[in-house]
Amino acid sequence: MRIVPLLPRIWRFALSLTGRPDAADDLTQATCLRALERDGQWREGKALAGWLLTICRSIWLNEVRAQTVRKTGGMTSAKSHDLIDERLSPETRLFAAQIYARVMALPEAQRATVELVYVQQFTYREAAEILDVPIGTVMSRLATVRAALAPLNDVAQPTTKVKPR
Amino acid sequence: MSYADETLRAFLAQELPAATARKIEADLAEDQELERRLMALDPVAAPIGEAFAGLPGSDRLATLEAALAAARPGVPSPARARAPLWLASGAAAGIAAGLALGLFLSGQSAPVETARDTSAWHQAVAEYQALYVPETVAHVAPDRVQLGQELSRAGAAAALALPFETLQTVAGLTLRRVQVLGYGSRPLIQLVYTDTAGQPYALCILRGGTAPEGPAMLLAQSSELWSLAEHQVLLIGRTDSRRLGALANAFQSVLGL
Repeated sequence: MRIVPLLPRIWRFALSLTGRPDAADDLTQATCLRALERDGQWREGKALAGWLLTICRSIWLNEVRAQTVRKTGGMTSAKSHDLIDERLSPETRLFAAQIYARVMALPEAQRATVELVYVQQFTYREAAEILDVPIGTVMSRLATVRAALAPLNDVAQPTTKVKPR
Repeated sequence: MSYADETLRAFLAQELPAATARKIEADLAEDQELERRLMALDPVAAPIGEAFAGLPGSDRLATLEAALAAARPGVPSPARARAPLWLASGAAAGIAAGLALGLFLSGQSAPVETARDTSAWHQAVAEYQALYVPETVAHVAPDRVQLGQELSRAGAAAALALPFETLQTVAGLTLRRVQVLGYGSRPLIQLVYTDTAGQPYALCILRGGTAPEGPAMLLAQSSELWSLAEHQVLLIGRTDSRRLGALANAFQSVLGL
């Protein structure tokens, strides 16, 4: 079982839950520690990424969320200038920053669903299992997000893109 | 049931009658091919996926990776000093326990200074790498597609999986060039990295054979050699041995010891 290659995926999901990069750091680290403690519960053949993200969400909901929301007043940190991939062209960075800001402005549950389905490319059913909601809820949240982000179509898209890690 | 693209686009735009939309939702719950088609038509899927693909940035990721690598028993203190507070707390005991289970790293013993057979392949690599200076690769602009293709070729030559997505940046080092060299009749893979200051490092992989594992100074360069199931791996560069050791730990994790 190899956790290190999955660190970017854990961190992105943690960011979608917490809404803040610094809190995502802490949640990622807590997830790794918990995974170590529960090593015996993971079996070869079981999707490691899904297992880790389920742990991540459980820690967030049960141990961290209330404290973080109390500290930050539930505000997300939408600044992206220090997050967007520095290898991208300025035009692409601007576009990515606009997308980032709009996604981070979404409610937590929608952010997490978007991250799992659009970014990590889990199926609806896999995302539903990680989020512990019915598959219909995943579809409903995505429909809401599509409606909320429809103005994305107004943003001119650059031609240079990078593939997900 | 099969749906036309126009129907699925109308579904995504929430322009279908409620009954039709409910039918598609019910089919989506059971039909992954339908879901795949819908995702391909979803206008916000690709922009969002691409906007978040580069996160976290290389510096942040390097900190997280170094923290895990630094938790390896026996790693000298400077590497630990870069670790976040969570590793300096009692939680480090949990990491150590996990290491013993082989969760993060190999669980192999701590690096120990060892004598080297200076006639072996790592000496040849050291002599070649000693010629590298920052200017050697300063002009090489990493091209993701080209590097991915070169890694595929090198991996095929050495019979080892070399995935671009995990090797493009490791613990703050950026992949610049991939070459297939030869040592005797065996392919020798060289991956050239640079750190943020432009200092070059080489990760070299040779299939088969054995050599003394561990750290060593080779021609004023720090190095660390370790073994995979069928390969030997050498990381070498001009830096202090502690930093080189921490970098080697990160590569060991990436290469799946």
